[in-house]
Amino acid sequence: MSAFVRVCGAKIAWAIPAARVVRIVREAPAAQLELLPLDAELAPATSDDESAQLVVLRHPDGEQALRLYGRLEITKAEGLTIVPLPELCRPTEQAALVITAVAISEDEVRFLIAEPAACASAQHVGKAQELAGQ
Amino acid sequence: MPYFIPLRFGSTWLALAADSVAQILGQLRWMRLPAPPTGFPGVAAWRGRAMSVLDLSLLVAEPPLTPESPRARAIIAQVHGSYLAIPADEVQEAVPIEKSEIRASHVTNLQHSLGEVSLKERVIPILDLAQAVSEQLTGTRPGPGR
Repeated sequence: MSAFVRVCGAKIAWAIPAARVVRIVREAPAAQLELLPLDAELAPATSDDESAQLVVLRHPDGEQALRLYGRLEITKAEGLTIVPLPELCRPTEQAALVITAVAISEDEVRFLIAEPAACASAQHVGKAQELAGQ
Repeated sequence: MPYFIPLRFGSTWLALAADSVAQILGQLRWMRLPAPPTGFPGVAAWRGRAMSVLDLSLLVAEPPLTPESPRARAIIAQVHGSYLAIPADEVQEAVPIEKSEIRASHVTNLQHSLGEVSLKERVIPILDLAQAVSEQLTGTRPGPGR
């Protein structure tokens, strides 16, 4: 079943393929994971009422984590098509977390799909689609 | 005889070869991308495919596009086998223009121009969309002109 972990509360609607997520845990000081930096537009607004969660992702060299505030939702891709990000709008800057694909309905972009850069070469766009079950 | 579609972006008029245009839409919803390349700030969906959004402020001295301030119209164009969404404030019907009517740019100063033409008491440049996109693909980044 194709599913995504949607990150709520950011300026841009985005998600991570659920198959890429190993676990989601409340932030613990003892956590010894490499933290991926997050572009400001992908970072949910922080709140004093909420503690951060660590979203642990698998990638070819092991595990990395995203520290995220706010709500996470599991979203199924039913009725949506997962397509690679068009070549012309692929980011030129190297980032730790990159947009590889887009979830669209017929005439609307529903959310962007992000993966760790280590997983985001051209062949990994295909992997994003595979992870999404398409 | 080739046809061209006049469009207005901000206060700047330019024209686009009609044979590159797949459809003219009303207001287009698009999504901003983090750290986008210059001139292509986001992505839109059309007929079940994803398209880059071309911001004409890359080429003309006008304020840039934002998803929060959508433009009234959008042109869907095909360039180098890819579809592009080009938001604009106004799009007029296609007009036939003889090649002999297109002259070298003197009044206008659009980068990637095929020349300029007199249309409805205006002199407007004709955008060479294929060249503009090619330069983006090869990493040559133009600045705004007029």
